Amino acid sequence: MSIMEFISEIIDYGFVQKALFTSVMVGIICGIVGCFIVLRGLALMGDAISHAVLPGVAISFLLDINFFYGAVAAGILTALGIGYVNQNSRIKSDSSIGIVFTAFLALGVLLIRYAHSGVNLDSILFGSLTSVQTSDMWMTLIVGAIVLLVVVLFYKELLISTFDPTMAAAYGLPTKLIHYMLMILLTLVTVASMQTVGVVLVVALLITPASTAYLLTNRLWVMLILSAAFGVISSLAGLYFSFAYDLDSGAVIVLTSFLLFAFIFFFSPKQGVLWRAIRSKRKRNAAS
Amino acid sequence: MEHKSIAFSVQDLTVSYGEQTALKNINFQVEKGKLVGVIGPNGAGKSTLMKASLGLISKDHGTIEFYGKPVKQMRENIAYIPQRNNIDWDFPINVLDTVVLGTYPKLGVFHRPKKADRKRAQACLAQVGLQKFSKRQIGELSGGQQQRVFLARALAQQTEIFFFDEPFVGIDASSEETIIHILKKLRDEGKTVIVIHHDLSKAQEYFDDLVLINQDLIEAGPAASVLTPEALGKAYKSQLPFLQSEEADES
Ligand SMILES: Nc1ncnc2c1ncn2[C@@H]1O[C@H](COP(=O)(O)OP(=O)(O)OP(=O)(O)O)[C@@H](O)[C@H]1O
Ligand SMILES: [Mg+2]
Repeated sequence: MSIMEFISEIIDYGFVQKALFTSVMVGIICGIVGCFIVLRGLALMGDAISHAVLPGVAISFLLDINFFYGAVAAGILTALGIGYVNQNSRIKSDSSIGIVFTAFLALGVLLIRYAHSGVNLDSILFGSLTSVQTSDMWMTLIVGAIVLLVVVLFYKELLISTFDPTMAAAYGLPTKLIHYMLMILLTLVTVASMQTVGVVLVVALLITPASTAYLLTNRLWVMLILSAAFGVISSLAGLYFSFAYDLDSGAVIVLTSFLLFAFIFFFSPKQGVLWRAIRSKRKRNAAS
Repeated sequence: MEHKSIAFSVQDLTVSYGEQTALKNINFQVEKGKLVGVIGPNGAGKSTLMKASLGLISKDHGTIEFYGKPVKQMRENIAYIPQRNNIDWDFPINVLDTVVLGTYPKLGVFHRPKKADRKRAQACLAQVGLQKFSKRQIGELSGGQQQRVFLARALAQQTEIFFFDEPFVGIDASSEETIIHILKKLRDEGKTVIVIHHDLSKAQEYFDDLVLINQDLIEAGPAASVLTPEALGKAYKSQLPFLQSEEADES
């Protein structure tokens, strides 16, 4: 299927439109929340929370409620649990993350099997854009609106508590509260991305576009916009290849964002490895 | 007696880290419009005193007041530069935007810095002599320049009270002169400035009053009255073995 044919399909078929809206929104919010995750050094935390929503999904199924609530509750419990272990012992933070989230993940696997849930484990783990429902789309759009609103309203507070938590605390910002607020956003974004990339790979959409943007700019708001753009480009690639060639959308999205990263890593004008090598060689030649 | 307004008072402050006591029953007051040095040997609890005063670490007991109010109500009126900035030097922020952060506390939630705030930040950057560097990424500065950026940011906070933890460490003589000049100017404008300092030789020249601590409060008051051999001996004895042996001889 050519790109033109694909565009006409988007116009003609409702289910393709739903997948389009969902994946674009997922690209934007993963890109934006991912910037804060990357800058705060919480990439591992993103990985943990995304995996730990699994038991929440299973429990929601057992209780016959929308999986959204269970997943969000599990994500927040994980964030709190990790914080608790970290602050009340000498366990280092990467270890406490590993301890807590693997337990949640293991529980999730057992519960999903036990529940005979009909929950398709594969589509939760790896995403499936072709099966996006109307309710999924609305959930993603609402979550996206919440995330964007919070980031716009509290941009200043997020910036300073990320850059200099000591100053933030000294002038009275509730830095712990901001941390947990960010963990809630992270959980919401993860749950909203389940259909698109799946829980195994969502961490890539959180950290890869943000890291790519990080290589390109020295201003936070530019980084946020670039990261969102890279997220959207990756999502659109995932959308196209999953409809046109029946490939796994999550895998395509992650590979696309990786290719963008690799390109910028080597060729970006400021930080690019290639230009840096050329510049230092020129300097050395000039000196000799 | 003339009534002087007390900007900062510490009553009966005790702070410990787990089992270990860092500060014991500290009492002193700082008058408004004074430039005050806090001195004492390494590990005396100077940084701890600042952090506890600002409510950044919890205290065992004691009362801290700024103009008679608890720190919670006065946070916007206090600027603080810690001894070590544990920040990410690769953060996507330039020098000017770092100084603009100083305008945040007074803006409150939901308000963005305006043109006037950026102008003020620029002026503060000029005061520390770094206007040329305003577009540089924050990590692309020398250690001394970085220190001055944080001073500029504290100036942009336009507070009544300033806390500086060892601002002269790793700084050359001319930068030190610039900084002490700025601190004295703040004092002359009626601000209260509290500085942790290491170099005893400059203490009298720089500060109006001194607070000498080593877990306990050894002495507080006008600089000349604190810098007595007895007080210094008491504060530094554990650090200076020859003083200890002298004491042993006496007894
Ligand atoms: N986070 C901490 N946990 C445990 N003990 C600490 C902690 N921070 C400081 N201490 C201890 O408290 C005491 C006072 O430390 P503090 O940092 O206040 O000293 P200081 O006077 O600022 O020293 P310096 O001149 O070296 O900066 C020291 O004995 C130190 O070992
Ligand atoms: Mg100290």
